[in-house]
Amino acid sequence: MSEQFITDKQFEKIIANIISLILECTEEEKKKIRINWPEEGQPAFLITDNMVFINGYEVDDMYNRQREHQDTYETSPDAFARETSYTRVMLTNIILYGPLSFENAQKIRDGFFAEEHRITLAKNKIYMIPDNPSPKRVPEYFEGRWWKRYDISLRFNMLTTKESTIERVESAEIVLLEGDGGSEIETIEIAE
Amino acid sequence: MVFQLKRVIKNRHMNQSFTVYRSSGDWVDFEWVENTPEVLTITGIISIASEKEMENLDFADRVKGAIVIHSIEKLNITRDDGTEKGTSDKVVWRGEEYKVKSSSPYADYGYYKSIAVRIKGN
Repeated sequence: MSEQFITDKQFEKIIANIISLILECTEEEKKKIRINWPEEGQPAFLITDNMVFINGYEVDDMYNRQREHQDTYETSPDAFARETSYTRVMLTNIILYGPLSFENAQKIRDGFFAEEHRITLAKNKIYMIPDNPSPKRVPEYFEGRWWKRYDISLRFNMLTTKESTIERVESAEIVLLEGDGGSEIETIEIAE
Repeated sequence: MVFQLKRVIKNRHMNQSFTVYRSSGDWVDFEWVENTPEVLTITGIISIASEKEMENLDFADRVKGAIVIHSIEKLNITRDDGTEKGTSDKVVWRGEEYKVKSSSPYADYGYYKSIAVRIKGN
């Protein structure tokens, strides 16, 4: 097994790509699926645009704290290969604006259960926690008008695997002393 | 006829030249990606909107400030009008970079007023 580590940005892009497939977006429509918090900001949109904004990050969970180690002896290099694996619990907030925000929210919520998207996620060692809360209606007031908005939060378990090397003990020296800090009786050297 | 204040802004005893970085970009793979900015030299009158001020935060002393720019040419704030899209212009003044936060279109009087904030942080 090789190292498996997905950054927040990579995770957001995997989710965004699945959403574009669920909503059957054209290349131009894909530009209306956007990842939050760009460093320089980004242009806004119109009340008539059907938008999807995504942010994803790890959240605290009991699962995050369990770690497994597996050591395998290898002859070259003469050491143990240690594989540490654990689960990161990821939260994705999906924010939808526009006249179709309700319909799109329902499609996304249902779409993540489709087998094709489950396979895509599984290839990246990501597994949706199927206990999804329903989309939340949160219309947003801006300069005299209410903008349609729905929010969805989905949670995923994501496997993370890291590799490291543990040196093996090649030799040891055992010294036998008489009494408490007394004179040396014998030294035993253990080597290969 | 509306009195044109641009004659004041054009007064070479009052105005100065400064560099503007004009951004453009598009969404690629769900992210906003900026192109290499266009570099412009613009003439106008720059004064202080808010002095350099230090904020004592738990992790550092953050320094902010703002300038006000009167110019004949319009400075852009973040926009997407269908054909042209980009984030706000950046103005370099006295070696420091400022990002345009507000634009007052007094075009009827021959000029634009913009406020830009210092973005460096330290």
